[in-house]
Amino acid sequence: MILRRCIALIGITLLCGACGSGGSGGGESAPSSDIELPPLASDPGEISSARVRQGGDTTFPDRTTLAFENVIANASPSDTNKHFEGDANFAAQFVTPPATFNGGLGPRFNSNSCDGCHTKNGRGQPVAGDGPRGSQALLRISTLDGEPEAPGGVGIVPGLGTQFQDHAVQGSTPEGTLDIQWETLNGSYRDGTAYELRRPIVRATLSDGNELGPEVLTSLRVPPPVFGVGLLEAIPDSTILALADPNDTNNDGISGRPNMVWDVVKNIRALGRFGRKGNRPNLLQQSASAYRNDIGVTNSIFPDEDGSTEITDTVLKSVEFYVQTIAVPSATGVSNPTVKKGEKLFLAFNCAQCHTPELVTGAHPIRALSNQKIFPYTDLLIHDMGPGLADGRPDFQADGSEWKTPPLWGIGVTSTILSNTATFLHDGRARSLEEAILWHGGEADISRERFRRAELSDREALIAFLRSL
Amino acid sequence: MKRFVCVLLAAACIGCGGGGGGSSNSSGGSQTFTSGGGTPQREAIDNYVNGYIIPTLRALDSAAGTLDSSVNALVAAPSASGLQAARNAWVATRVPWETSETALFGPVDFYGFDPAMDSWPVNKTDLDTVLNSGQTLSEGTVASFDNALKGFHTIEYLLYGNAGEKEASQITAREGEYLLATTGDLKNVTASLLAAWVSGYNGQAPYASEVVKAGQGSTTFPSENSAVEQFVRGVIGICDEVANGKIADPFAQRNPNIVESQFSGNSLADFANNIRGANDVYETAISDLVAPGNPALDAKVRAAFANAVASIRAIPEPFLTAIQSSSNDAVIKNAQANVRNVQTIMEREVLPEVLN
Repeated sequence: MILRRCIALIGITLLCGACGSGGSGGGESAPSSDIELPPLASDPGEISSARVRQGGDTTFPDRTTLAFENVIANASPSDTNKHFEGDANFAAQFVTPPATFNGGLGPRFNSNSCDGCHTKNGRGQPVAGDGPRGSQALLRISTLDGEPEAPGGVGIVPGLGTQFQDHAVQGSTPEGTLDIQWETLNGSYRDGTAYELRRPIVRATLSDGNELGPEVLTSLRVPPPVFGVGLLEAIPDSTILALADPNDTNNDGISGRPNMVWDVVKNIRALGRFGRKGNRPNLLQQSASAYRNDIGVTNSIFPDEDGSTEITDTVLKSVEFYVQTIAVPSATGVSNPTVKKGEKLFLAFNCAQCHTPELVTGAHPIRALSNQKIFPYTDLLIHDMGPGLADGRPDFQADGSEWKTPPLWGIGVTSTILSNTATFLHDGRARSLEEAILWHGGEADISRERFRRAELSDREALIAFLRSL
Repeated sequence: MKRFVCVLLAAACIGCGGGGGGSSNSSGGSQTFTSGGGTPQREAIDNYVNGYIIPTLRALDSAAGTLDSSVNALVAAPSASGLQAARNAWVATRVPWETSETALFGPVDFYGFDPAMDSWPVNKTDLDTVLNSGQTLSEGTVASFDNALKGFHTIEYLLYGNAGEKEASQITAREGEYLLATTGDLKNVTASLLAAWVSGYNGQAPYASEVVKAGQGSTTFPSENSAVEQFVRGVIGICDEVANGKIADPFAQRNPNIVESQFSGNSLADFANNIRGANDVYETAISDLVAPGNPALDAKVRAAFANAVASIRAIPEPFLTAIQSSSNDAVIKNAQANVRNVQTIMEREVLPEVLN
């Protein structure tokens, strides 16, 4: 039985969905409320027409299934060469040592390569049907009072770490098995149209047959897209901090705040930018952590207990460079009337308060990423998203109901890559963009309600806008 | 080397004109999918689906069945001729697979069929551990293994050894069990991939019906152009992969260890079949969008493909040996240049030509 902390919000009729692991789901309702909505702005304005070039000069005009696999359009020839070297390392499949090359897998792991999780550099899936892929989801684990993984970080689960590794090389034993079941919740739009949401019920069973103890906090995650992240890294701290409103001084119900985390290389506190809760400060640390925890490959930032490493810094930094230089695809249909209408609704519904459309990058060691006007639709801040999405697992300063605003650029290409198997949100529970919106709560209560109470044509317009990104 | 010949089935595409987002028809046991036609793009989409990818996946599944039966015969009665027959069947199965790699999108990608069939390198350490264990081996067991323990290259390793030295008498009983299980698993995967395109898989409608619905309500391909661009970028992508990955990586490092299909020495055939697959896509679906308005470009593309394939085949076999001698540098670089030439033409000239 998995125990999760739940934070109830007044006015939300949803029972705490993420609590416990039992629950039949019958009779529970999807997030909704009868909150009184303030009047809509008569003219919410519009986003700059420059939004078609979502990544500024780095934008690559490709919206096929290969859209997230292009090098930034303004890469220098040497950048391009480095990108392709990194690409080979990102795709490298690790095997059990001793091996002539790509040794270092495991002994326990979640995947044998970077691109094994990030399908076409995009989203992973919680359950990819009956085929060989299975699940690309993993379970983050921690304790409230365990030894912190880093100053201010989550508590390590003794013997397991901070990630449940459900694969192992032959002859070794995985930490256990994950079973994901789905519980459904019913809801309806204001116009009476019914919909069904689902949420995962996760059971983690240790290899000795026991279940995780009640002191272990868990959070199911699917891999996020990895394109455009170099641009996010290049946004100045000051820009992100200026967007924060931790005490909601402007009384708009939205109080984004930065997650201050730990830079393990510099040994300093730093602004978190990457990961679902923004718990990693930069792409080098994110990549090193993924090597260590996802693939079981030790490196200079996260070495083995004896100090040994299984990849060189050259390899690690080439993968860092690769993800930094993956292009953002161009937007599409920006002058389509329905898309334009959806754009206005996106602003009017206050979605843009967190999904900040336009930002400007600062200086970055990769010159091509510097000083770019970009349209990522994120503020990189953490927000209370309500009990429906809460995982009850704090991570640095993010509490159990806070999540970092994910970027929306490229989200319209997701269905091209994954077709009808596409899913959204941190654990892949949403099977459509509509479901993803309907799961929003907490600081996004009003925005969700505006969508839920909107006419069909308005809902379709908002979705058309998202698909244009 | 037998080359898979792509049969253009456009003429058999019946039931066109229904509109409303694509449909499928069965005629004479051969199911076809149609967008409804009426535009050159829709014709190209129908031709791609019915004339390239479905016949290729059918050939893959058929060849995988022959491979499975050949391995069964070999294990039942080991002999030099039986081993050669199994090796021939393995090589024959590689042909449609490599030909299909211009289309690494859709079910082959999001269900993980590609890595389940074609992961590289083989995890030899784990394979030895399994072979030396008492673990029961079945198709289901192997299916549950990590991808580096199954598929083409694991089968190749068991049939050829490290460098083709393996003899039938050296295949142990345990290796025989593993071969039966992993070829059976490969056949299951090819059948699932074919099903995902033509009859539906995992509760989803046939992916082919989604492709021919491009621009007619499909969220996968929101416009006809988006599907056509997908086909062309697939050609661009496989040319990039062959020139700048499959050839470039081992060549630049002069590292035979990272050459794909090295146990069988089939690497250059793999590369050539990749480009032939790209050529099949062009001839089957794209040429009709180019030739009427720009016959010179059409001729240029066709010549570029021919040069690319010929120059790959001009590299001395086996590839893992060729890369270790500087005397072969010029011919290898020439092959890379000719493949890149196709890539460049497709990207800079064909793509703008076919997107209206």
